[in-house]
Amino acid sequence: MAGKRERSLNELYLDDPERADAVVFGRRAAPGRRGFLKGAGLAALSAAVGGPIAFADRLPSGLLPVALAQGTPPGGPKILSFEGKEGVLVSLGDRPLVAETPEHQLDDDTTPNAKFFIRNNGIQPQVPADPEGWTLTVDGEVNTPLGLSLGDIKKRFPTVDLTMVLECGGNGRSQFNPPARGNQWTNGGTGCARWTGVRLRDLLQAAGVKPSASHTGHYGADQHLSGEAGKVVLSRGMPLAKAMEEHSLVAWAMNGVPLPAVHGFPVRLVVPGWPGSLSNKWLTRIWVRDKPHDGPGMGGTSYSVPIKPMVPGGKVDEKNSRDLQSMPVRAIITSPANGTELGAGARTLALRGKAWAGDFTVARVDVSIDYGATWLPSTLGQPRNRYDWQKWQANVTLPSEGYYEVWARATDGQGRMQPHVAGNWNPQGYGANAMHRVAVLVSA
Amino acid sequence: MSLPRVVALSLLAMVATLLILSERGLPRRAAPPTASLPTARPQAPPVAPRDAEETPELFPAGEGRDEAFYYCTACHGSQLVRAQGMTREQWDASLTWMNTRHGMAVPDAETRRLLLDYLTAAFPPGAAPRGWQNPFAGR
Repeated sequence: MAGKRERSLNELYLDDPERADAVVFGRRAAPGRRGFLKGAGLAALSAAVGGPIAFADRLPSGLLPVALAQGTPPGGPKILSFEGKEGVLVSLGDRPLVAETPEHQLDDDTTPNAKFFIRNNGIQPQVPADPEGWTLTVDGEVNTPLGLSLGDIKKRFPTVDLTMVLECGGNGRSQFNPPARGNQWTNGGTGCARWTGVRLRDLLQAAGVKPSASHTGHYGADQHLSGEAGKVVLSRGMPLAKAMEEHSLVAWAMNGVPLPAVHGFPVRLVVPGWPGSLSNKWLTRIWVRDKPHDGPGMGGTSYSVPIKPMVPGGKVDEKNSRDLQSMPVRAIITSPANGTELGAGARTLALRGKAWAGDFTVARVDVSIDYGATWLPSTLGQPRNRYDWQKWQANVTLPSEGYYEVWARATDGQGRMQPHVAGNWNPQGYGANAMHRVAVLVSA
Repeated sequence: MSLPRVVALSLLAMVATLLILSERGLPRRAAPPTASLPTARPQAPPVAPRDAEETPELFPAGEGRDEAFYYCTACHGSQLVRAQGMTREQWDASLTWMNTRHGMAVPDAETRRLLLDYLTAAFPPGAAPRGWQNPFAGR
């Protein structure tokens, strides 16, 4: 019942927000008034969200309160049933296996393996009987092609431990309007783990990169979903400079234990700050190229954003695309969870969360409980190493009982803030980083 | 009707559907990977949960439903399709993308039109609930 109602509301608001306001809640936008809620419209909207709406006078016309903005699938979100994942992930698909971590489950300083999101593109390979004998090839534009066993790699190169965010390139995609194609991630295609491995650059230097080398191409052992033998699932690559960064790893452990099978056992790439698709699991080969890699997942609109902004939902020009490299700045509220109910007398609320910004650091995180009319700075922590996420926390005062939305907005070191809505629309939905909002209700 | 008879009729219907579909040159489902696993590994299940029990009824009724279902789920689960809400132009581009990039069997022109008509009608923008949950629905 509720699902149906919300769905039609969403459609109505998608078509014409101001008309939807007038039709549904009797609120009208007027010049200078911006359609702020009042009178009968306010009462109707309050009834719809289940409580009085605080700061309703600042809720702009045509903007749905979050309690109404998102539909609930029949039966609620599908919780992934998967050994080692403790039932916390929300399934986005079984084949390929894709599951995200709800924001409030990212509250740990370091994301436990049991809560780490899953993004498979193909069929997971068999767990090897002899993981130390797993071979990684480094070839192409190198002086000495290498075929190293994992055991050799561990012995030959210095081991490093780094706590770094890994994030799906499509994280935030569900924020796009009109909808963009692909898995409809909220903000949960992300996690921050402690990775143990060797630097990719040590392997590349051991192979001797030729002057002609400019890019890499990565291959894993997963099988294509079509079952077609030998068909490559996904093979993306990056400029050599990114591969040579000291934080780009060939990793075999995650949070102090061997990689779980679903996260790439026995060995994977971790290329922090850039779309997770570069961090192939079950890694078998690094092909050093003399031009941008052209494997499946490269070129066209794959993992790309428009060079010149396009009309949302409009005609796609593949030439107007560039690879998404650094992920955009993003803050999430990890406590309270969306939908938290507070006791009648609650007037203060402690907020905390995480923020990260691809290749960059986060300069500040601000919070608002009045739809962005006023902002309060949070206390922001420092990353433990580059590419770590940063913790933030703030305390806000709630002036009355009622329905509130907490909004969080991060700003990166370059001064770029998260927008209210996902911008730079593209057909496959990359780069969405609208502010995270959670709804809380203070009981009457 | 007795249970065995119902089961037999259902099976017959399924086989007939598959035969009809195979005449249209439908792709076969990928064989599930065999799961003979060594036991002494850090984490056991390397094979994703399968969705072999999926049937066309997971898609909204409409002409072309079964064809669309089997074309799409030859590779990926139906949940991915059900999560989309796109215009005809976007669905058209998606079919092209699946054909050219992801190894989807290329349908003949008539079948392609059928798929496109169905997907456009069954999964238009706004149809799929997206994003996070309504925490206070119905309150």
